Amino acid sequence: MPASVRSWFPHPWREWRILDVWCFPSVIFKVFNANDANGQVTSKWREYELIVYVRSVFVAKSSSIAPDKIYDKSVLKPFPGFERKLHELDLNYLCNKNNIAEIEENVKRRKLNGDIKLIHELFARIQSAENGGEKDLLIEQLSEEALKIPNKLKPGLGDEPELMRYVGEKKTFSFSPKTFENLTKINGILRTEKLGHLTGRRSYFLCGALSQLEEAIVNFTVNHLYERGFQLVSVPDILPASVIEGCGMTTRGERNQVYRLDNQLYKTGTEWGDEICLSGTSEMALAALLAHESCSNGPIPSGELPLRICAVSRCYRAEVSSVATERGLYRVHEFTKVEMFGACPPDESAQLANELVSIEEEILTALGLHARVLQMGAADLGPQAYYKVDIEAWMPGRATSGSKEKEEEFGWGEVSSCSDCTDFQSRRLGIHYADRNGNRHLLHTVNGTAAAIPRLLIAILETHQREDKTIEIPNALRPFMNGCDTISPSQKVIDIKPLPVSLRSRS
Amino acid sequence: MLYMPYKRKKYHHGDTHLKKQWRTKRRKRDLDEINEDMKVENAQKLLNQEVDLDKPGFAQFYCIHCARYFIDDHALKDHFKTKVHKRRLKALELEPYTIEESERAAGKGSFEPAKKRKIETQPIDELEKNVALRGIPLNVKSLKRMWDFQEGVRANRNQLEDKRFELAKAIKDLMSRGTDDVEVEKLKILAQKVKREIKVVTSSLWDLENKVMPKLLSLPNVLHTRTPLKTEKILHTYLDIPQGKQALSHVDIGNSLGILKVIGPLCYFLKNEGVKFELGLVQYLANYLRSKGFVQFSNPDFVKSLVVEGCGFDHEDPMMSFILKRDNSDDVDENNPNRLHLTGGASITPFCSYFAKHVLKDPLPVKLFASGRSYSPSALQINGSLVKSCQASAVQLFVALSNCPNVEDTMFDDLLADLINAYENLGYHFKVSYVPPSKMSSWECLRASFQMYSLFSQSYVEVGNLSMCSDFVSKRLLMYYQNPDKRVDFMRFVTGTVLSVPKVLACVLEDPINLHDGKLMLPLPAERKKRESVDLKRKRTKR
Repeated sequence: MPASVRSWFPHPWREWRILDVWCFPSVIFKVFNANDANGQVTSKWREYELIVYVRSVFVAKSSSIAPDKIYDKSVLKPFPGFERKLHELDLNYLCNKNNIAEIEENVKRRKLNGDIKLIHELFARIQSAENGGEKDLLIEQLSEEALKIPNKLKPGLGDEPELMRYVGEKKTFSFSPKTFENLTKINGILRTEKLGHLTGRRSYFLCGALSQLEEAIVNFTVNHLYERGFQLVSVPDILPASVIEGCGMTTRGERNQVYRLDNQLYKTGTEWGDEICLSGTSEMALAALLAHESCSNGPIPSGELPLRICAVSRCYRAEVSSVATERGLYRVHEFTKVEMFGACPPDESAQLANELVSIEEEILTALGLHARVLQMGAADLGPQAYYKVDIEAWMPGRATSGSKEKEEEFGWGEVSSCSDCTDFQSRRLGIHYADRNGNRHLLHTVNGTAAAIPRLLIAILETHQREDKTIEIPNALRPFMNGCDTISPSQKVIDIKPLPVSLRSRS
Repeated sequence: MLYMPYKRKKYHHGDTHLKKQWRTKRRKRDLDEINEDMKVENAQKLLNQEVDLDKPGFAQFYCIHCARYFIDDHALKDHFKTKVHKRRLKALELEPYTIEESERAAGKGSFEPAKKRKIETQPIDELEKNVALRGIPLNVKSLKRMWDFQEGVRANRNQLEDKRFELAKAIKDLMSRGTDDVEVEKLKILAQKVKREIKVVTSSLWDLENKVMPKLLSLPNVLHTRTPLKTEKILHTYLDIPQGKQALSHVDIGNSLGILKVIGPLCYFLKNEGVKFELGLVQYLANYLRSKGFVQFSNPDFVKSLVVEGCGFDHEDPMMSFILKRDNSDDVDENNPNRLHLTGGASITPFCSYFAKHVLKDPLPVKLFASGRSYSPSALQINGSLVKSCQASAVQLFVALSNCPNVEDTMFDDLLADLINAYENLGYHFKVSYVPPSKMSSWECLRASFQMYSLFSQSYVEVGNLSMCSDFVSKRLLMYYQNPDKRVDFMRFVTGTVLSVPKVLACVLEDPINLHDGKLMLPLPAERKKRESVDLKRKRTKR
């Protein structure tokens, strides 16, 4: 405990009556003095900043625990089981001189900044170094660098996306299809304007029918996945940096997509990456759940594999974009998503990934959308993916919003993707399974989007519009909307107008 | 003959025979007893006594320090100005004599001088009472003094401005006449002096405002007459309290059923039936509210400090809402106080953001609800549990009303009845009660709390609430509505978390009646019927 904090406490310790010890953000102590000397103030409270954790609620006066013991860091785990697992990195592969060229090319093609040469240099120095502090430091440094090296690439993968197949038919219109913004403007089912200073830039409200449509898509997708034998899981949205990094997202540096809590106020230990982040996709939490289970209950028995899990969650992404076509709901900071996650023995991951892609196609077909399936090129892959399949839906309104030549470029919008991460995530988080003989092996993980709401809403509204701006609801969703079959443009949901100037000034 | 009054022979109070002096018939409370009375919990009891027809003023106007009842508010306030009362305050300043002190005097321990305290008359002001009842550490009197001082400075500045204006006018007049350069020069010097003075006063006024305004913004909403002052007032109960004891907490039970995994204070996972419970409950409430004419919203989870403060929360308190790192906000500026917070879509803040700085043109009431997440670090503790989870799936309702207290009261009652109905359909024991000010947020003027019983902790847990806000928030965030006659006015609103899923799940898991064959029974009406029939069967077989 810092001396500055210690000085706050009167001694001896036992006389200090702490009714409630709160944990976590820099440890806040709320100390309630039931009565003040003059009987005026009902309660007094004070906050102290401590960097350590407090194990449990206690009353110091009545318990015999010495307060110093409570700050024992070894017993305090804000995120037990979510620690970084550096020792499982594949150093045999990374430190083999024959692989330098391959890894270097991989890093270059993905446009990442891992440095394999530095790793080899460090490795050589470790070998010659004597045991002791310096060697430990070098090992630490080596692990940090090794974390930056991406997953292997699927052999034969090009740099550019490659079309695999089309799903559904492209709908022809007898009129010029309207854009999503245009369709939602009249009846106020979407609000994106004048929100920057209130709920943050690029935030949005879905109102009335659009919000109901969101709920319907989520329920339809979850039902569909449940029938396909997926396990339902509800996940936390707030995770330590160690998990986010273990899944292949960077949390440091200027350009990153991760929202983080203020680390001056909320603290964790270095084992968890020192920061608390908001999850960008439920894939992260699901991977963390498997990691926790295989760490606390032992490796997952092979009889349970392959695991098929799905989760509905909110996703938070700090990405910014100033591209005009990505205005409105196309690229947003927060949205609801149904995510599929699979885990299987190494030789089955390709098969499982194919299954996820086919489920994605089924869902899009049921929603009456036209889409194309693309095998993504190396340049578009994150560090975690061995390969990735994207599905882009046709958005007729967006297609016609630009010039005729740019129709193809604007019209396709990514709505879901599926990546095979092989053992990249399992190594970093420690996800194991036990084969029939009880031997531990690393699992392979696969993830795919079942439904990402904002872009699906764009695709559905633009595809199923009529000339009078009425939206037809796809048959599959009607049971989830109390049988409602259209969204009418004439029914205004909430009618608000900006404050007139006369009322804006305030004394 | 002129009337001559009786001349007293004894000039001193209490100058009477000892027999009378030592009688206990008219004995007042002693100073050490009064010292005991001044402690907050006792003081609160004494200041809010039950009606007693035998006491003066039916025991409603009591002076703690003098231990006297008065007949009305006027008499009490007059008493505070009297010499008797002031003398009593002075007498109470010295700490009472204790056994410990006598022991010290006898040589046990060393001498400690008795402490002196500053005693102030009990708060008479509504606002002071409100602040005291809510337990907000704020000195209203000093705040008032600061405000008066600030307004004094402001008046001073206005005077100076007027003076400058007059001088400028005079100079202009003289210049236009084109005479007397010396006179103009004199006036100019004077004007410069005034200008400099204005500069100084204005900057000090800004400093003052920076100090005073945040404190003013932390003043709470007025209290509704229905708000109980001391203890919860139960409005409604449904079914009996679950009996018996539960040795395991919901965390252990959920874990053994394979539906819940709590990891540390921040994370928990629901699996299988747990997720069905969560999704089903939210969907049931959404359907219920839609059938009652509510419009569904999907809200953003982030909100800026501006709105957090507007809703009466301390936007700098990291335990009030999750504060995001600066470089995640749109503004990287170190000193920008308008930061990004994570509160969740199912909370009061996004609804207020929606209407802030806007005029609602629809006829009132406008009934809205949102299902989604709600994040709150205030409940965070090291031993993770669902009751104190900082992430929850929840349903929040928000009803915008015209600026009329009666309308607000009736709507509140209607909504309360609707919610009670929705809860009864779930078939769990619950109670609804008004909570005292100490348990309310500063923006609330009345809060009805829905509570379920946790068998493990043997206590009630708040799983939902409905609160009345009057126009407290709308005045701060400029939330207006338009009357049919086109006039604009501040809206009132009633809002509340209809239900917080993890808390309900915690209570449900701890009651063995809800578990059947090692599975959690879902609360949907059809399921409940099945459960009841199972219960009947069980009873029959027992017989």
